[in-house]
Amino acid sequence: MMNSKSIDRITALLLFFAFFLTMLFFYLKKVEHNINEYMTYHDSVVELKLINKSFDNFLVKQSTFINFDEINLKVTDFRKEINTLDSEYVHGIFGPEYSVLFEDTRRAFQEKEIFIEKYKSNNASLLNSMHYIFDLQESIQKNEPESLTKIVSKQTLLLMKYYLNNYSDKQKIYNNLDLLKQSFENENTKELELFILHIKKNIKRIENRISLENIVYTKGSLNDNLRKLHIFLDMHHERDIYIEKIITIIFFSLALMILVVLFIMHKRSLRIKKELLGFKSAVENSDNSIVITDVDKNITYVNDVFEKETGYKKEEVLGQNPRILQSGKIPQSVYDDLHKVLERGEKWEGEFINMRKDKSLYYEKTSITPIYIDNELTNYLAIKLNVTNYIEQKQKLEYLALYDSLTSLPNRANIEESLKKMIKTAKRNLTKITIFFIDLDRFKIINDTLGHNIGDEVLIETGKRIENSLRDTDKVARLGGDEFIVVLENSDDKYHSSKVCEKIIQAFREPIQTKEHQLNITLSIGVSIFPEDGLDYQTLFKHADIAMYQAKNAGKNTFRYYQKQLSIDVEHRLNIEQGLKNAIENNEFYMVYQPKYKLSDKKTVGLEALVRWESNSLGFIAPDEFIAIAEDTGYILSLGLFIFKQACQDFLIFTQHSVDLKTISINISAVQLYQETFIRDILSIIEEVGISPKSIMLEITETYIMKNINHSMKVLHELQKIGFSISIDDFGTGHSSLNYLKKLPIDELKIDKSFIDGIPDDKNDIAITQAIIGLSKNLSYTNIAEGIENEIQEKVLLGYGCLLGQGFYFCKPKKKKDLIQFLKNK
Amino acid sequence: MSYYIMRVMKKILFLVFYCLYAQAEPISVIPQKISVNIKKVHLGQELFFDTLLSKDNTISCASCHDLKAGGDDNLKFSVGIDGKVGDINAPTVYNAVYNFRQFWNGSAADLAEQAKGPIENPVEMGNTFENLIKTLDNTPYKDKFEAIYADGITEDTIVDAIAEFEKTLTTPNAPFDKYLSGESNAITQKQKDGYAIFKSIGCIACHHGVNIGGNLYNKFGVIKSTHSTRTGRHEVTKNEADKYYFKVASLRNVAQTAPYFHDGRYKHLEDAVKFMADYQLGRSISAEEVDKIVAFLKALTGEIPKVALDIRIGVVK
Repeated sequence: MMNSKSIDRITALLLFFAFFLTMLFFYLKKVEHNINEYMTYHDSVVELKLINKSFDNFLVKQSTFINFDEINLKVTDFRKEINTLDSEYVHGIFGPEYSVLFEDTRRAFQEKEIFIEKYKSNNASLLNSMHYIFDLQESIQKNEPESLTKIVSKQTLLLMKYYLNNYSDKQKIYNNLDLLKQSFENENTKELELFILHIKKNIKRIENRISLENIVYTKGSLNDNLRKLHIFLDMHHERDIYIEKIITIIFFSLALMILVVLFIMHKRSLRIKKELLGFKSAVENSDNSIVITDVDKNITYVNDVFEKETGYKKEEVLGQNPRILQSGKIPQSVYDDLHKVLERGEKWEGEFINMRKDKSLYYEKTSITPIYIDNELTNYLAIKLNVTNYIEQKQKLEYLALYDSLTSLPNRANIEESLKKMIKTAKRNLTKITIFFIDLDRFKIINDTLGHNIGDEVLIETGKRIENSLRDTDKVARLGGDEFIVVLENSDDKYHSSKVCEKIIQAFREPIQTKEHQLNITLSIGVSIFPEDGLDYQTLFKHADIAMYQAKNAGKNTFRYYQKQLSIDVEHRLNIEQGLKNAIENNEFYMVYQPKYKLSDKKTVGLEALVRWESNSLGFIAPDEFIAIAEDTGYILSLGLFIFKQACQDFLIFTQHSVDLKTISINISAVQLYQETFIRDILSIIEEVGISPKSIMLEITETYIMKNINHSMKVLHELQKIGFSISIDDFGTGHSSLNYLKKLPIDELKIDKSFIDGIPDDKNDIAITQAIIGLSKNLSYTNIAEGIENEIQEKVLLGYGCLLGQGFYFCKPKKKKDLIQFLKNK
Repeated sequence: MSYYIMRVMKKILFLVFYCLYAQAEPISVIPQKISVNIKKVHLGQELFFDTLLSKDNTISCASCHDLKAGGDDNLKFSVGIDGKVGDINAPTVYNAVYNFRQFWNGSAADLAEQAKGPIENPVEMGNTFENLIKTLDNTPYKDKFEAIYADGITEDTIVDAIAEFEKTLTTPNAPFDKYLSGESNAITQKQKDGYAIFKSIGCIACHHGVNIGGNLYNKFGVIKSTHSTRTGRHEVTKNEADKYYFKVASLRNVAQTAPYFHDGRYKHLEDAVKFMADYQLGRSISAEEVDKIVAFLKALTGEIPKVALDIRIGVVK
C-alpha cells in the first residue's frame, strides 16, 4: 500500500537520527583525534623547549672541553622534531597564525644553530689556545728573566679570570698586555710572540663568546618563540575544546529533540495504529465489499466480504485489475465516465452488474474514491454493496404492481394502462375494442367452504383456461377476487365476440380437478364495446360488469351484452349488496313466525321462522330478493346464524304460551351446509340459548339436497344424529331420486306452494300433491302443505291425508308479539 | 706573590682541564651495528655502483668513493664526466653517517641531501634528476623502487636508497677503538704517547667524538692565512665572518685518505699534522711529537665493512 516514492516521516527521521548519530560518532572521533594531535604537537613543543634548554646549557659551558657529538645529536633531534611541526597538515590545522609563529621559531632555531656552530668553533679554538698559553707561560717562566715572567704570569692570570668570569676588568688585561708588548720589544723571542698572539686572539674569542651568550638571551630568541608556540597551541586547544563542548551540547540537544519528536510520533502512530485496527476490523467486518488498488488500479487489498460476494479468493485477485469482475452488461460509457471522474480526483458512484467467479451475475452499488496522501495519488478505494436482493425485490415489486401474483396475469392497473393506450389508438383508427367482464359463479362459496387454497387453484386454472381460449393478440387480466377481464382489440364483429364468449364458457365444461375435489365451475360474462358502451375504461368496465350481472341473473353460465336498462337492475342489486353489509349491526332484520298446524284439529304444533329486512336505506326488501344475493355474497352465513339464534330464543318464549307447540322450523341455506363450521356454530347457539335440538326442525330445499347428494347425505346424517329434525322444503320442484329419498334421514316433506296453489282446479297439481302425501306416508315421513290460502284447499288436503298445513288462511307470518297474542287466543 | 700566583694558576689549570681528564674519553667507539632498512640498502648499493646515475653513463658514486681504497679516490681533486676536474678533495664515504653535516662547507644536512650534490654537479655526474628518473624508469629499477616506495622513482627515493646504503659504510674495530674498549695492547706505546700528545696540545678540542672530528666547523687557518681558494661556510651563508670555516674532517681511516684537506694540499700525514699545529694551534711541535701523533692516527684505521668487500667481488665478476 505504501508508495515507494515517498518515504514516511518516521523513517526519514530515523534515517536522519542514524545519520546524526554517525555524524556525532565521527565528530567525537575527530575530537579524540584532535586531542591526540594536540598532545603530539604539544609534546613536540615541550620536547623542543627541553632541547633548547640543553642548547642554552651548552652555550654557557664556558670553560670545559665539550664533546660536540652530544650537541650535534641535540641539534639533529631539534631539527627532526621541528620538522614534524612543519607538515602542510599541521599548518592546515592551526592556520596562518601558527605558520607565522612556526616560521619565526624556525628562523630563531637557524640563528641559534649558527650561534651554536660559532660557539663550537670559538670554544674549540679558545680552549686550545688557553691550553697553549699555559704551556707557553710555563716555558717562558723557565727561560726568561723574572721581570718578564711576572708580567706573563699576571697576563695569564688576568686572561684566565676573564675566561672564567665575563665580568672581569678588561682594561687591566689590556694594560698588562701593553707592558708585555713593551717587554717583547726588548726580549724578542718566538715564545713571547706566540704568547702575545694567543692572548690577543683569546681576548677576542672571549668577547665573541660573551656577545653570543647575550644574543641568545635577547628577545625574539628561540626560547621566546617556543614559548609563544606553546601558548598558541594551548590556546588553540582550549578554543577547540570550547567549540567542541558547544558543538557536543548542540549535538546532544538536537539528539534529545529528535528523540522527543520520535517519541511524540511514536505515541501518535500508536494512536493511529489503534484507530487503524479499529478501521481494519470495521473494513473486515463491513457488509460492504472493500477493494483497494494501487495507482495503476491493480488490486492490493480485498476484505472477506469481497471473497464471499464474488467467489474469488484474495490470492486470486491481488495484483489483478478489478475489470475481471465485469460482466459486459454495463455499457462502456459508464466505465469511461468512471475513469474520467477518477482522473479529476473526484469520487465516483454508480451501479455495476458484475460477474462472480462462477459466472453468476450480481448487482452492486459502488463508490470509488481516489486516495491522496500528501497530495499524491496513492490508491483507489472501492466500497461495494451487493444490492442484488434489493434490485430483485424491486423488480418483483414492479412485477407485482403490474401482474397478479397468483395467476401471473396482468393486474387491474396493468390492464387499465393498456386499455388507455388501446383506446387512444382505437379512437384514432376508428376501430372497436371489446371487453369481457368475467366472474366465476358462486366462487365465494368454494372459497369459503373449501378454503382459500382450493379457491386459488381454481383461479389459476380459470386464468389458464380463459387464456387458452383467446388469440395471442387478445389480453386477459385478473382484476381481483374471481373477476377477470378480457380485451379483444379490433373486434368489430359481435358474432366473433360471442364465439369467444362461448368458447370460454365451453372451456369450463370439464370440471376443474383439484387435489381433493372435482369442481364444476361456471362463469358469467358481461360484454361492453368501445366506443358504443363507453369512451373510457372506467365506463367500459362498469358496463361490462353490469352486463355480467345480467348474465348472472339470467341463470349464470352465460354471457350478456351490455344494455342501458340492465344497469338499473344491477344497480338495485348492488344497492342491496351494499345495504346488507351492516344490516345485522343496524338491527334491520326482524323475525316473523308462521304457525304450522294440524289440519285435523287446527292445533298449532310448530312455527316456521322467517326473516324480514326493513333496510334503513332501501326500505322493505323481500326475502326472495335479498336471500339469493346474501347467498351469492356469502352474507347468508352470518345471517343464517343470526336467524337461528333469534328463532331459538323466541321459540322458548312461545312455548310458554302454547302447550301444543312442539317444533320451530328454521330455513337453512345450502351455502350454510357447505360451511365446515356450521354444525359447531349451531351447537354452540343451542347450548347458549338452552334449547333441545329435538325442538328444532331444519328446512332444506330439495334442489340443493339432490344436487349434492353425497355431501347432503353426510351432513344430514350428522344433524339427525344430534337430534335435529329435517324437513325438505319446496318438495316436488327438484329432481328427487326415490332411491336416495329412501336413504335420506328425513322427518318431513313440505309440499311446494306452487302445487297447493293449483288446488282444487289443476289436476296435475292435485295428482302431485296426492303422490307426495302418499310417498311420505310410505316412507313414514310427516308431510306439510304450505301456502294454504282458503278453506277449500285446507279441506281438500285434509281429505288427501295431509297431516299439517301452513298458510295465510290459518295465519299469516306474525311478529313475535303478535304471535304470542295469536297463541294466547287459541 | 709569585708563589701565590703559581698556586692560583695551578688551581685554575686544574679547573680548566678537570673536565678533559675527569670525564670519559673524548673519543667514542664506533658502534658495531646501525639500524637500516635492508631492502633500501640493497637498492642503494646497486645505485651506488651504477654509472647510470651520470649523464653519460661513465661515473658512479663508487668512481670517487672507492670502497676498497678508504672510501675516496686518493686524488687531490676528483674527475667527473668528460674528464672534468673538480676543485675540492673528495672526502671518504666511510663513516660519513657520523658527520654532523656533509660536504666540506656543511651545505648538506645529511647523507641523502649530500647524494643529490654529485648527481647534478656539472663537473661530477653532470646529470639532472628529471633525466635520471626517465633513464631509471626504463630499467628494472622501476619495479625495485615501486616494491619499496609508494612514490616509485623520485629524487627523494633515489637519494634515500643511496643514503640508506651509505649508512652501512662504517669502519668499526680500529685498533684504537679496541684500545678504548679495554684492549690495552691493541695499540703500541708510541701510539698511546701520540694520543696523549694529541689531547695535550689541543687537537682533541676539534677532533673528538665518534668520528674524531666531523662534528663542528672551524676556521682553516686560525693563526694565519692558509691562502685557500675555497671559502667554506661562507659559500653557504655569504657571511663574511664565516669565511674559511670548513667542517672539521674526521680522522678515522685518515692514513688511507690522502691527500689531505679540502684542497688536498698535502699527501703525507706528517705534513698535515705539522700544518695543523702551525696554522690551527699556532704552536711549535717537535718532530718526535709529530711522529707519535702520526703513529696514533694510524691506529684509527678500521675494518672495511663486509658489504663493501662483497660489492667489490660482485663488480669484478
